[in-house]
Amino acid sequence: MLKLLLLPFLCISLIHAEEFSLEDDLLSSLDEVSTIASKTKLNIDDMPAFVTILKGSNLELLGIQDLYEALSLVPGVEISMEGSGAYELIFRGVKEKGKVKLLIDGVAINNSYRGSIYYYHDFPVELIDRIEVMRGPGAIYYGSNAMSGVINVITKNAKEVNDNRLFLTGSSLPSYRGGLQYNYALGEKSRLSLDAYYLYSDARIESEADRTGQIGHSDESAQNFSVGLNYSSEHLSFLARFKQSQEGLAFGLGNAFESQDDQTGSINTSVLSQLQYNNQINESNHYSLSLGLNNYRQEIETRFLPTSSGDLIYKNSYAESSVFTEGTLNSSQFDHHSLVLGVRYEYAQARHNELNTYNENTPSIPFLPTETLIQPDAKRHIFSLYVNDSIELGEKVDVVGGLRWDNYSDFGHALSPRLGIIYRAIKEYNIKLLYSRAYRAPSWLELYATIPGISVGDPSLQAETSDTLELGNIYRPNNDQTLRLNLYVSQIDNLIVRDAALYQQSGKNYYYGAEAEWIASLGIHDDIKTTLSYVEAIDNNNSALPNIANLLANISYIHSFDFGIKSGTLLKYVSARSRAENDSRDALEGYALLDQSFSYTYKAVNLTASVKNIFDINYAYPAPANTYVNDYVREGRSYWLSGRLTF
Amino acid sequence: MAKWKVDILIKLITLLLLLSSMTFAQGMKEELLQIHATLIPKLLMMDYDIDKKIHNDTIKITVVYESSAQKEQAQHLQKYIHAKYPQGINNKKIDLNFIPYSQLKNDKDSTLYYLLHTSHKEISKAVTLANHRAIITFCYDQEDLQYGVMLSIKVTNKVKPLINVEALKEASITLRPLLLKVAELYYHSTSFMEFMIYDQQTLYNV
Repeated sequence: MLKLLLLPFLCISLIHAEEFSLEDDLLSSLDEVSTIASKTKLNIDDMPAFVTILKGSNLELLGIQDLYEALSLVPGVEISMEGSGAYELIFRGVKEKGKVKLLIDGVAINNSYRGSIYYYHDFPVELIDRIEVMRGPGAIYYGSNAMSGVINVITKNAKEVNDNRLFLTGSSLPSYRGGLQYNYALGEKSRLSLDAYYLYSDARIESEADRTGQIGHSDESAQNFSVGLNYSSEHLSFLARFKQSQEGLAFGLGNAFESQDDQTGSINTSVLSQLQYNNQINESNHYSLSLGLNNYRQEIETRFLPTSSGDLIYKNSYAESSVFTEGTLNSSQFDHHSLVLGVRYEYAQARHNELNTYNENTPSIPFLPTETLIQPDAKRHIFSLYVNDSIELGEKVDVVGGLRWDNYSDFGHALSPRLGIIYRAIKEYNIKLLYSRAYRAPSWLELYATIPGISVGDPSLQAETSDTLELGNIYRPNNDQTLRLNLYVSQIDNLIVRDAALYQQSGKNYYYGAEAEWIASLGIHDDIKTTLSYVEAIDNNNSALPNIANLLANISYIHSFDFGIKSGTLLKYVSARSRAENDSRDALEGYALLDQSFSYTYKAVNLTASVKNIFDINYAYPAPANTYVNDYVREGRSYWLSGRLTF
Repeated sequence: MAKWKVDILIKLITLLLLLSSMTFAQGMKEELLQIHATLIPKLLMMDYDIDKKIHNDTIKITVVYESSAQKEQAQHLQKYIHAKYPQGINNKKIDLNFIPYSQLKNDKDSTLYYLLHTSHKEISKAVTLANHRAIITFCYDQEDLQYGVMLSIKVTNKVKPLINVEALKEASITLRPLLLKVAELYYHSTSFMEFMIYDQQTLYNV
């Protein structure tokens, strides 16, 4: 009898248990997809940042080969190069020099030595799922170096669902590149992904006379490779990447050609790794804990400068390690608030630091009076706290506010506030207004360099800081079109410059600009993207900063034919670049390059043929005065062929 | 730069600007398909009568397309659904089926029609067929809700289901209250007075 009485209650509780779990399931899925939308930047026009997403699949169709070539498609981003062959990014008129943060699958690679990232320039597009490029400050989440931009390369390893791939590419430069990406399901919720690539290049570009009057070829040879591993399960993930770039020094470390018989170069080796644990306290509170270890090594050997008594040889070897741990809490505990709290600790130390310079005819006599690049035992403890809150003030308005505090044991602390408002005026139109402060910690080279007459550090240097105000307008009349127009003004203070070999703090620079993007699908077969950007970069004497293009433009067009063939057309324009005051040459001429690719896919095989710089335009990156009169000449027309197998 | 090269570049730019005046149609975003793949099976479970729409313990999602290019792009939906729900959901298998709008009348036993964007005439025909067969409709492009499709997804700073209240009422479909609480309700009608008719009681009893 009692059982019969209890039976309805049991049924009701079972029914409600089912309802409860179905509802919980739906709520959990809504959180999950909101995370997907944020992670993939699908809702970027509703977020407090100016981000461009470059998708790997589209980059391949346009014949783009690697990371830096892809970055040239971002509004406001210009690619340039130093004489040593180190590629340089110019974000909104700001030369990179440690002011752009590069992350691979969320792990930062900038080192403490110089903040350099250039050795990842050749990362192949076949291993990239997408590149997220934030223009402007990103210090709130990323700390130092995230001053003029943040680049996050999401590899296919990190993607939850993707096919396995083998690829091979050859070009007329000549260069050859091959690699693979492989996924292995370890269980229902865990997987292992591996990738690897190798690049061989023997590119040499004919050039006019160097600073010694010698005519020759730039050495842009390369033997680069990388291996990456990514393990993920429901709560735990581990990633690791080894990358080595062995490259020629292009136009020379001292802006003089090396002799053809004895080509040397630089080797940059990077190992990064991160273990991360993610879980939730309850439906409203999710946390993650990370532990990471990074290593960086650089070795350079070069004939620095020919002299009448023999060539000057330069050899350096440097290594540093860093370990970090970070905890973040994402909370939607309070209605209409999305709160992020974070704490991070990092320890970095220079482990090896050696400099050897001598005349080839007297190798036992150093020509520079120092055996180290920087003071020995450079080290740094960094402790960081950050908080960010996004508040929904009704359906139409979000307000975001955040603050980060970083404390460095070697130079002091930095505060990075952020404030923003996003207004959804109508369904088709959003406005964003953002203010951010960011900073760049002085590098160890700037603090501790010990090369008299060439590079002397100042341990009392403070961080460079930037204050940026940005206004964004986003118009989306339908799902097929997006038009964005952004305006910004930025000031960089406490600039660190090297003047008469001494690193010192010096004044301010100002940057004003506008960026426009139009992205559209013209029918199911056609995608077009147009970007246009303008920047004025001036110093505190109101003089234009040299070697920066005021105007950049790109048009990319992808057409899909019905029988498996796709066409990718890319037009890039860079305007003239003014010279430094001490440079009597005319402004460096602007240029426009046209690339065309055709891609054919049959079942699992894809072949892509590309011609770059179809009209064989002569163009160059700017070289300093009294070095290369015709600047750093770039390659003319080149032909590329790629084969990709998906399995 | 040589004059003739400048001329070609100007012509290219002019051509592209002319192209900009053409009517647009849809490319599909893989990330959005991933979100749809995650949510659709869960949304189906919110229908009180879902068991009547499932045959042979299999949830059959029929992707209705206009062109082969659309079909090719929509394959990602299948990939993501199978990755997310390899064992199905609530002991029901999930199968995907692809069918062009022109062949939809021959379809059988579907649980949901996933409608890819096309002309409003085709969408309306598909909706009428679905309502007649008591099949739930979901559209990739939320603009198609205005033609009577029942469900879609809206992505802003958060992701929310979009529910076409009128369409659900017309098809006599009843949803669990939670979905109505978390979703954004879509009203095609612009009349304020008609809006007032849809009071709380009516909403929960659609």
